[in-house]
This record gives sequence, C-alpha cells and structure tokens, in this order.
Amino acid sequence: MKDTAAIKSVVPHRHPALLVDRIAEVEPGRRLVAYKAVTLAEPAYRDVPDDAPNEEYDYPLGQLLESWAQSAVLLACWERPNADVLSGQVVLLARTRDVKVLGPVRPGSVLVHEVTLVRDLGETVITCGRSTVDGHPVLEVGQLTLALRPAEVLRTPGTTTPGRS
Amino acid sequence: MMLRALTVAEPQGRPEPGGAAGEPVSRHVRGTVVLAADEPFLRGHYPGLPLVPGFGLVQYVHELAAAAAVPSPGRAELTRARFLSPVRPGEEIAVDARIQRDDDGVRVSARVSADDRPAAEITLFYPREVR
Repeated sequence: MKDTAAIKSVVPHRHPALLVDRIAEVEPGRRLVAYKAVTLAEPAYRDVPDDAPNEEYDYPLGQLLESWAQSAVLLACWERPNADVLSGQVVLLARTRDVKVLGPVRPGSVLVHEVTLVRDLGETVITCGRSTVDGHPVLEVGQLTLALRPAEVLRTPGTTTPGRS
Repeated sequence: MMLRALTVAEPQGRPEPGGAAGEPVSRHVRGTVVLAADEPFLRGHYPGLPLVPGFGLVQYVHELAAAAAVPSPGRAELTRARFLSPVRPGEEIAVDARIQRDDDGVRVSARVSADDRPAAEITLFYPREVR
C-alpha cells in the first residue's frame, strides 16, 4: 500500500486537484490499482441546495475522469517521477477513446481505479482500464494516451499539441 | 470541477427541422467561460503553473449539453477526445457543439478553443435510456 506522500512524490497535482487517495497495488510498467474516496465534503458539492434531488450529487464527469487519469499518470511515471511541473518532463493528456461512464458515483463511494499499461513508447504512454464501486463497474476506459514533454512547452501558450502527435 | 457557469447561446438562431417527437434533430450551441487565475482548483493544478485540466474541458462540453436539455441519467460515453494545447486561466474558453439526436441517443460533437486557439475536440454520446 502506497500512501499520500508516495503519490505526491510522483505527480505534481496538489490539493484540491489531487484526486487519488491511495495506491493499493502497483506493478511498474504493467498495472496499478488506486483508491479515491468521494465524500460530501468535496468542493463539487459546496453549492448544492438543500432541496436538490439525488442526481445533483453525481460526482462530476470531469472529476471522475481526471481521478482515473491521475492514476494512469502515476503508473506511467512510477519509475520516472516528477512532482515539479516547472522542470523535467511533464505529462499531458493527449487523447482518449471509448470511455464509458456506466452509472452515477455519489458521496460515500470509494472508487477503485484499475489501470493497465498498454504500451510505453517513451514520450507516449497508452493506458486502459476501469473503475468500480463496491465491485460494480462505473467507468470503462478503452484508451487514454498520455504525452511526456519537456516542462518548457507549458510556459509558451499554444506550443504544445500532444493530441496531434 | 472548478467550473464557472457557461454563458450559453445558439449562434445560428435558425429553426431546426423537427424530429418524430417534434424536438429538433440537431442544433448548434456555444458556451463561453473565462477562469480566474485564483480559481481554487487551479491552485493544485498546478502549483506555480495553473492549467485547466483536459477533463475540465470535457466537463464544460457535458455542462453545455445539459444546458441544451440533453438527458444524461448517470450514463455518458466519451467517444473520443483530442487535446491540442494547454489552456490557461484568463483565456476565453469557447465550446462550440453540434447536438445530434438519433434513435440510439444523443451525440454532442464539440470543438473547444482558448483565445481562438484550438484546444480540444470532444465527442460525447448519451445513450437513450432503456426502460
């Protein structure tokens, strides 16, 4: 089991944007299993009115995908960690294909993200996987491609085009 | 996520052909938003270099679809997405989406730009609810 300190040593994401709580298993270069607990204290629920229906508490699509993707970044960078987005190589989201959200995720859920490394081409890492809650699939990721680029590319607007690579 | 409400408009403004249920078969909607540099989520994404997460752009497309009354009962598919350039706070994010209603569900094909620079191409699909 890898705790928060281990996570923070590998990726540059920080509170409140760090959406992985714990790593349950990691086989570098192969697969990773991570946990993310969704609670009512999430900033996403700050403005939900008292009379809102349950659907208003669906964990936002963008955050669900971001949380899974951060698990993918952890696997991709496990053996080449970089917690500083201002230096070294940074990881950019390049493209996704065939991602399916199968049902709502609500407060009280513990997401179990399963990531498999499909191919590591050095500057491009292809992953796939899924997420479950209480053993039930809530997310399928057909393919998520990450691009590793020198940190300098982030400082000049419009210079990075990972999805076009 | 760290989203402010989109400003939504239908730039074409012309009537769309009605489908079997009388609802438009397709329509074009546009949403715009500018994130402030002190947006809380961006403090952690990333310290010293705030960037809008790629999936934040997907969330915008999703919210634009919701604003256009696309039903999404907990299920959605991100058919494909390409992320073309990083987006920074202060840039105007514009989402131009074509919403197509088919027998099997609703497709939302969007181009996202940041200060008129291509930032992402995103296609979402909302399968029709089977009762």
